[in-house]
Amino acid sequence: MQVAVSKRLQRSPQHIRSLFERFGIYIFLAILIVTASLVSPNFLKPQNLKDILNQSAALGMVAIGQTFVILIGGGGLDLSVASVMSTVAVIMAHNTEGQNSLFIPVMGVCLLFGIIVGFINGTLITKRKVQPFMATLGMMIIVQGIRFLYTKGMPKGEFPPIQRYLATGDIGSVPTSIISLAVMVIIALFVLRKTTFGRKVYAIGGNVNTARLCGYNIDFTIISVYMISGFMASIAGLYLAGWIGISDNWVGKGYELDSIAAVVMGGTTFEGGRGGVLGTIVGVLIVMMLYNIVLLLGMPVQMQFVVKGVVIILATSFYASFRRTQT
Amino acid sequence: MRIGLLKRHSAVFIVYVILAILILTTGLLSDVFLTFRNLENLLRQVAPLGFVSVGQTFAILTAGIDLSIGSVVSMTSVLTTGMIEGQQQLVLPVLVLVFGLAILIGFINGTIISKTGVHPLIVTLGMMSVVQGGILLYTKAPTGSVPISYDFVAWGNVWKIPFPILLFASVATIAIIFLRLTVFGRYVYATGGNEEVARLSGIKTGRVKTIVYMICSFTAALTGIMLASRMGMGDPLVGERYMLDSIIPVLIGGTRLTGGVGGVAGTIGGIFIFIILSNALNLLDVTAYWQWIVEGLVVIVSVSLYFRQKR
Repeated sequence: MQVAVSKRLQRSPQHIRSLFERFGIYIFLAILIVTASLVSPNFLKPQNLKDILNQSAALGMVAIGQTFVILIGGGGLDLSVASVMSTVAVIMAHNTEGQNSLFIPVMGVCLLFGIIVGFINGTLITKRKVQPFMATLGMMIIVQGIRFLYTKGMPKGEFPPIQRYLATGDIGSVPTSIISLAVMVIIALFVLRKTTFGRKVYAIGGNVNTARLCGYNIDFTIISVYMISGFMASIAGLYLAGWIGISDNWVGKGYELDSIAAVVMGGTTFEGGRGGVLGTIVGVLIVMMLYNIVLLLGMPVQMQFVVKGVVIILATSFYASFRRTQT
Repeated sequence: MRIGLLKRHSAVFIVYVILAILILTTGLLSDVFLTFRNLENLLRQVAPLGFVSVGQTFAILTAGIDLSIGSVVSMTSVLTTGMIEGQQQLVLPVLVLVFGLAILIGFINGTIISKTGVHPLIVTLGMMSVVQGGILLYTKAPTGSVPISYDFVAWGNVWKIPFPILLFASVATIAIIFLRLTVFGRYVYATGGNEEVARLSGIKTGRVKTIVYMICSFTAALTGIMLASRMGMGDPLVGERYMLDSIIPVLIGGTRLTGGVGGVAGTIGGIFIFIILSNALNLLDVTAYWQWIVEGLVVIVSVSLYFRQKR
């Protein structure tokens, strides 16, 4: 990392700007943490920090998938993630009815469901040339319909204790959800940075035509990316459901837009090819910290929306101002 | 020449063919559909979605999108009823205030988008969050009331034609004239088609975008007022569904998310498809859950049909 930075310094005359572009989000996070600890003494308590990280897990997982989809460019984004999340939650609750023995097979079904939704999304986008926005919006509505047909509007059942443990328990003093998120971040980082698949994602996001001329299988990569997003959404759905603990038709409502906001705040651009998973996670942490600060200050819960909106706009425009002046 | 015209408007053409097929099939399958009562009801339903979709068409034509539209709908609905509280003399000042506020929100959206270059999806998403939070701070439950005269907006008739559809027809006509026949309309298409080229040819693209988002918020305010009149009270969550629902008719109608292609004529077709479809499914006793599935399929199928044509 250090080497990369110093190379950039030599190459670019406007190195300070590019530094800001690269690390702006981290600076933002640091400022936020300092401000938060100044306004509320409770903020830096271990339990509170643990809560923030715990709450970030599900959004973080969705956002990892979303990062892949947005990186691929061409207007790529996945609006169907929240619908997938709620659907796997009701599948789990209905079929296991709280029995541990059924957890693994049903989880397999859930993950398969997410992957299938992603596959359909990807196929529509590559083979039928539907815009990602429309394809995933359509899938969002269809999956919602399927969910309500399945539950007949009244979700029932319970989650198995093992799922509750995975979402809310601790290993030693570290919450399991943080460990899982960390593992997924590392895998995602590895895939994006060290594998040919990751290179293809960046290449296609950077310039589809060049990537095609390089002989990359564009369609296959795009479909895989949507499958990753569906897969991550179903894991996140199971986590969030385990965290909440009640079978509900709307688990994860709003996560599709929150995850997109986190990804963009983290520096991944809609044009594709720029950005990455680490920034996304910082974006998620910022959103969750803001929620937390609002509550610590004893403000009404609704203030969360206001603060979140203001910060999304401020962070992204702060960021964009560096990016724009650079070119 | 005729082929050229057809080709140029192929998307609009397809939309109206789909609409005609939809009307014919529903008419054959259900004997209630073509009754006067049902059609009147249907026309009243067109207006609320219609306004926002027309506004959204402008935003999408400039390669943007406005997600804050839903929260502006809720805001106007809640603020009008909440402040009027059934008092006749307050109607006019409150309406002025509410429209002013809505246009201000559009102005802020447009200014941020054009000055910073942040993607409209993100800016308007943030704005949605701010406005929605503000509304929920104002009230958490449906509130307020309107004077009886206010009912006219949603329930009145002019020469036996429902007032909402007349209002919608005039808004749509103005929008079409605006886009097709004025310089500003050309600027909108130019900005959406290729912003860089438009800017280099001397169009103030930033100003065009700002106006476009102001139009968007204005139409959202119209919808909010229509809904407040229809229900007689303001609901802080009434606009939620319009955030995405307003986009669907625009894209079904052949306007492209990449901007510069499409128009209000297609959107109107899209709105009617959307409304008639849900009406038809209701008449045919299809449960709400199946309706979602059909709706999603229509979104995907119509858009992919259209794209097939283009390539």
